Amino acid sequence: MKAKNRDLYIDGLGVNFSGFQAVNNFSMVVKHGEMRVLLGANGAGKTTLMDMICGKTQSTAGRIFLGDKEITNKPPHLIARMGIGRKFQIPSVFKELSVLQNLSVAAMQESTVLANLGSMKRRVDHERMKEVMSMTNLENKAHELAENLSHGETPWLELAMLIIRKPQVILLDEPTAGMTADETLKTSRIMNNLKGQHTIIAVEHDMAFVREIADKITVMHQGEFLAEGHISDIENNQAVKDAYLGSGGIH
Amino acid sequence: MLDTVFIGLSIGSILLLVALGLSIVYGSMGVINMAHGELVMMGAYTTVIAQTYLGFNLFAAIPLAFIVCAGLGLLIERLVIRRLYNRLFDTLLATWGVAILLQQAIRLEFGLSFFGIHIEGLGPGLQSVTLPEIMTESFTVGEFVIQPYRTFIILVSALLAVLTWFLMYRTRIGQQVRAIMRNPDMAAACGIDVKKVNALTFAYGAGLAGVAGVMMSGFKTVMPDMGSSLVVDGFLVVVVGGVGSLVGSIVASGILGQLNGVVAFFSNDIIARAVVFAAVIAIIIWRPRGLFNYKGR
Amino acid sequence: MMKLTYSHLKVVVYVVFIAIILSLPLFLDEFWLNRTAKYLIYGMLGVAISLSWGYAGILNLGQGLFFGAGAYMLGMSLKLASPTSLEQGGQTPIPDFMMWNAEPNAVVDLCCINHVSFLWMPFQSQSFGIFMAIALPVLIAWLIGTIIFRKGIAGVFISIITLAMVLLARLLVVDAQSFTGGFNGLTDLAWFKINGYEFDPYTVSTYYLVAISLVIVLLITRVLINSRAGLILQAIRDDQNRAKYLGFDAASYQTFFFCVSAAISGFAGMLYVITAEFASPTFMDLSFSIAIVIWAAVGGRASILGACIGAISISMLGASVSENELFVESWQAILGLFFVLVVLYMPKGLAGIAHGICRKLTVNRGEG
Repeated sequence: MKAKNRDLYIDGLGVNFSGFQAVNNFSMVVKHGEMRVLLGANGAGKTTLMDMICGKTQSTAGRIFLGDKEITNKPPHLIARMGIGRKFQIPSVFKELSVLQNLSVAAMQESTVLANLGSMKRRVDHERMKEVMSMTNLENKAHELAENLSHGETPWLELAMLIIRKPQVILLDEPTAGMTADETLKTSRIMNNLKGQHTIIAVEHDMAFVREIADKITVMHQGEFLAEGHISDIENNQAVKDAYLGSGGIH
Repeated sequence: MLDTVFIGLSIGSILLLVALGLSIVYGSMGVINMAHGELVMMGAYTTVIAQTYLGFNLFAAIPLAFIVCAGLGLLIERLVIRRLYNRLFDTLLATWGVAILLQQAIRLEFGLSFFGIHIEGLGPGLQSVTLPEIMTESFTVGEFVIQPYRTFIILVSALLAVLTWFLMYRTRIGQQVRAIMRNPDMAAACGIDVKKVNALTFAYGAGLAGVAGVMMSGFKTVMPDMGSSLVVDGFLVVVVGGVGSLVGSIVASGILGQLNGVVAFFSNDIIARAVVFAAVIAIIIWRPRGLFNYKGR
Repeated sequence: MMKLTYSHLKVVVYVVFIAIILSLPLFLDEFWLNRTAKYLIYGMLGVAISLSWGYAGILNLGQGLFFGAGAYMLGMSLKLASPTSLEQGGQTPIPDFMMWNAEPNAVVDLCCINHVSFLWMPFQSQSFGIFMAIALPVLIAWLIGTIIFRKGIAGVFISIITLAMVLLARLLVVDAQSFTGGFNGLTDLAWFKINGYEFDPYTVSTYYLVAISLVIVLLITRVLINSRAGLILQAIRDDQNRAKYLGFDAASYQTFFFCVSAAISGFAGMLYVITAEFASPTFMDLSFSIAIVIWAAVGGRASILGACIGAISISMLGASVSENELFVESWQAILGLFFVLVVLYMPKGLAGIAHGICRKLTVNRGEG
């Protein structure tokens, strides 16, 4: 596979927490524009893997490449600047700021203090803001304080904050956690809209949702790579079935 | 040279007494009790009052101070801390207000000064406590001159540390405290009465502070602001030792106490404090989570 | 007809406040102007702590360290410029306390009268004193920022560390008698001079020096808060990690604004030594640093003007009560009680309540 075509290349990644090998010798390649879903039981290491990609956790072995640039163990804000966006399991937005302010912060062109001493009035691209807000069902909430958003709207705001930055790779940790069926549907629409323009890696448990959106699935088990392929391949994979023996297979 | 080590040990043991309560409360509840130093001060004043009016000697004052300060702790938890569980950082500020109130209560003799009533043992002036006779005479064992009071302090701290360890690791309620430390929501889901356990934990921490106060009254002048800087010392021990780690608090107070003693021997007390502070900064830079951090990643 | 919006109301409040403090010389005599100038300086400290605490999320429990540093730095220059220092018999000015503490056969010269006196030499220039009054606090703040903020140390420990620092500084300053004047501090100072004009602390010109400085500090801080960096700073305060994963180096923002807060405090200290004619280790008393926090908490930590007015009013109130010994102690108790109540029931302070009222007023007129 040409380096140009792959957005994320993980090579032999591992992390050892005082004797506990949370992730071991994991490798994965994700193509540009792909929607990859990470599956695995709780404790399989999926979130830890994401933590290592975005810099939240330091790895103890292996390397990660974004495009052709290495991002292994770089500081999180640098990795973010290089093009990785991360959405967390517990929605994290800026509670005391309004939706518009949240997006303004996310959309800032410059990241250093000195470059940002100028006024807020310039450099706010209102068109782009409106576009992203309508993409994420937040058109009417521009001046609403983030802490007053509903349970389903907060992850959409977080998603909007990622989208507006146009990152090369977006990491989503259980994007539909705690959502109603209606909200899940809306979220899958947002994600389908993103397909093709962004590379997305999502951790999910909701299989109906996974069927809707996934191009390819990678299964992790006990911190290691177990299987990879399209949803039909995974469902018929013996090793995967064995791993989930007793839980009645994947539904 | 051995004298210096001994003094270092005794400084360390006092640090430990102060830090124990802080460590448990912060580790398990996330509450920052800035009134801890004032609770120590209350323990000292309890000793003074007990001696003046009840004829209690130092030994008898220990359980009394524990009870008084634990009671105070329960009161503070009920009235103030309980309303701040969803914004823990504000406990720093609120307990600071409580600390000011406690200090002023002593200075104003609980308001009685206004009426011209003066209670001996209270007020803004200095107080002192007389040690039991057995504590005043140093005795020699072989080549070493042993100061009984400092030895007593070391013994009491060691005892309390062991007692705390026992309570935390060998009793039901200690198990509950540790469960809350790891994950309060899960603990509640398992049927632990988090509110009650937290109140008791806070009271225990306050009681420990009271005992520290009794110990301090034996060699320091008792005055209303004697506790102000203690809470800082206590937290520095907690930072170095690692939040929630009993062993960490013990080791940290040992190291910092020893360092203080050694440097003070060669220069003076103030330089010693500066050096200890610099050491704390250095340790934090090396290990931001403290020496013994159980919280893992 | 102009619509009355919330931001218009804010501007009006600022204008009224500025108008009031600039017009006070019409009503007060020189003695009261001097006292008021001190309260305005406390107001500046309120601004500093609101910036650090309310906006950057860093609760500095040792603000007195920066304030005291600023006061001492200019104080050293003013000490050397005083007639007493010039008449000690040497070629160079020598502070009187150095003469009193000198060894019997010491050289009567600033460079060598004791083994640290040479550090005073550059302070013969008042400009150096002014420079250091801002530079030293900024340097300390920068060191704290670079060494400690970077490590992702929890906010409470940063507060404890600043607390430990101010306690330590207090002890060190008193201990280093031959360098700092010890317990008595720096007294018997010359007046501050600009281009030959001397600022007698009990004149209108000194009052305006302080008042205009406060206005400038207020406006500059407002501009900073309203900038993009100010918004990012508030985002970092709300969720540091989220800000990092959006590409912002949180520690550098915190350090920058912490340094600005330190510079303001140093500047306040400098103005104080000009107005009060002394610098003392009591500036680094724990009770003073805590008082600053209480003023800001009551006034409203996340409101620059709120914290400023809170500081001015409460310190004024406290001063008027200090006539009676018994009242001083009970004032402290009342302050403590009020502080607890504010933290429990009014976390946004009086400014928070005012903001709420203003929003309701402007919404009721059809705007929002």
